[in-house]
Amino acid sequence: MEEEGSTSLGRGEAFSGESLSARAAPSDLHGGVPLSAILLTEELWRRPARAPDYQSENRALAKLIEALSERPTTILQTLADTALDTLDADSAGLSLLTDDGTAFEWGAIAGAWKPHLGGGTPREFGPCGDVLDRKTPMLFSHWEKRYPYLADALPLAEEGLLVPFYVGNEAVGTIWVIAHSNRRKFDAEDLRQLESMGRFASAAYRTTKLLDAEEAGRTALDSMEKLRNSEHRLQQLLQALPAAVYTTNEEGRITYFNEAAVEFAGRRPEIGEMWCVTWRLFYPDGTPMAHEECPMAVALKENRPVYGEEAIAERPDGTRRWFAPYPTPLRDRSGRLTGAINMLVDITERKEAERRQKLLVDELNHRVKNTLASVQSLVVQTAKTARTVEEFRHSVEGRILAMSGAHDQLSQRSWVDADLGDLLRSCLKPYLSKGNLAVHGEAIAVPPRAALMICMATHELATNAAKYGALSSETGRVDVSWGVDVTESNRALHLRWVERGGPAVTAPERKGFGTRLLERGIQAELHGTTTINFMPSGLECEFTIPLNDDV
Amino acid sequence: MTTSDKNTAVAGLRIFVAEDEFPVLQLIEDMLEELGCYVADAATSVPTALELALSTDADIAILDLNLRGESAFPVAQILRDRGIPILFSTGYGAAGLAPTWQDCPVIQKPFPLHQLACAIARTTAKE
Repeated sequence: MEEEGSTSLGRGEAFSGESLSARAAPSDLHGGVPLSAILLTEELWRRPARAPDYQSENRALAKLIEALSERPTTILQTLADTALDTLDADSAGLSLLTDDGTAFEWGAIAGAWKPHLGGGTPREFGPCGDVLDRKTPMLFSHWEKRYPYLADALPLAEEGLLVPFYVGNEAVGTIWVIAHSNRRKFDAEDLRQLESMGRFASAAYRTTKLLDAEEAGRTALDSMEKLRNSEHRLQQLLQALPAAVYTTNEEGRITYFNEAAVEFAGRRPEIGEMWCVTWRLFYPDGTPMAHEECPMAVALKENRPVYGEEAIAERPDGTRRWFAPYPTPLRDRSGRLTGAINMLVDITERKEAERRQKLLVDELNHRVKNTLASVQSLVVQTAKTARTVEEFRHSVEGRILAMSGAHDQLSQRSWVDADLGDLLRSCLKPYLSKGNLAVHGEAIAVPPRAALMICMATHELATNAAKYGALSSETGRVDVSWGVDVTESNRALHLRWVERGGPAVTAPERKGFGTRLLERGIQAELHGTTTINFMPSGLECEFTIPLNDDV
Repeated sequence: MTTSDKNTAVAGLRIFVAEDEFPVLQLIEDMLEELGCYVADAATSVPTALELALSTDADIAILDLNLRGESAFPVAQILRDRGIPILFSTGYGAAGLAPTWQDCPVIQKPFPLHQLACAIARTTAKE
């Protein structure tokens, strides 16, 4: 702010190193105005003496003591105000030596010079410096004659009385009063009082320093407390995560791990262990992975996140888990690597699901191929005995549909097994409706292989019966029944196909698909036996099929 | 027609067949008959196949890799140890074979007659 007649001698002007050397300089020291030209110190004792004004002094000190105890942070300003008042000066203030000792800073100012708060003088070339050099009070007049830079400190100082103050043996600054006109001529009594205030200033200075240190300490403690709190929150957060998380320093030594990490690794790591929390590591193909090769180690050594990898961790108890690590380097504000954080996501279940799916797909492929090969077999063998295309088509279609019917039955019970009665009724459907075929027996579940074979076999029997046997005439009947024989170690299914009332049949000369199926199929597929009797009353066929586990 | 009348490249070979799907077994047997080969032994499960593998006098074996859900590789091992060449028949394709079995011929179901004939010829050539 610009007031007429005064300039603010801001920090930048008297203070900064460059402007100091530019202004203050050597040229003044050599051939500039000598110090003696601006000193009036002798005058202090030549001027008319006054009696000591103890009352005034005590009042001043009382004020200061009160300020120090009540509002210690304001003590320096109070000191300046009190000096101004007590000594009836136009300006008063304190100069404090900066930490590096190269300059004085006007830390508190009262009176006309108040706008110059924060300004100051160089240690080597200025009134405060002169006072500290000689360790004695000095009275100046128009110091701007010797120190031109002070010409900007307006209003000019007609007289300036400076008194040093120390902390122990260390000079730390001056306390001063200024008269901007002839109105005031400082004398010995003023000096005495100012020195008294100077002694006070020492104590005040020490106090403020202590307070500052305390404040700094408190702030530091506060910050540390805040930091500890936020670290604690972070740790709580990490503990709560279901995924394993751990951190290392920049060398790769473990600095933190959460409980989920302990559980995943199957062990409690030690702080300081290298790279990984896990016991043993393996690549996806099963080859061992050294801990120093793990993705976390790579992330730290190359200072980059390593995502998209998968690996296997083995626990001390031998169990293994698939996991996907997500190591991420941690850096400070300047970008320097300080460590890394790693999250291990257990993907065992996904891998299991993938493996099961692959097995299912393979299994499906296998079954489809086998079924097609079976159909191929049906077609080829039917072609051998079919006499016309129509007969061929009819025959092949019938067999394929019988197979398909069995599949349907099995499908309903997820290919675990099929109920024999349902199976037979489904397989013999076309003949059931005519009413000359009966199916009866206890409820029994048969496994897939047996179901398929029984279905195909009864289809053959029915086809033959419809062509040549009981189902080819109005009077013919077929009775299908079964029972289970249980001996000590075996369960055997006895399935009987009995034809009555139809034309007489005899054993065929050539063994067609049907006959081979009935004889060999039952034996080869199901380790069962087939007996076919061509009775005068009609064909009788009996299957004995063991119902143990491997069928 | 007797098999001795057949004049095919593989006529006269005695074959050990392991196949768990009966219709497919029948088909293979019929095809072999057409080619003039004999079915020396046939098995539809791993236990039976293991037994027969030890005793068979077949010239070559046609082996389904999956017999009723069980792997037939132990059977293959016996046959290999006995010096009997193996033709793998599979629904999976050659990609599924472990490196040690990669040099065995493979035929994928379903297959026509001529493909079987070629495969058998390849198998016997690997003596």
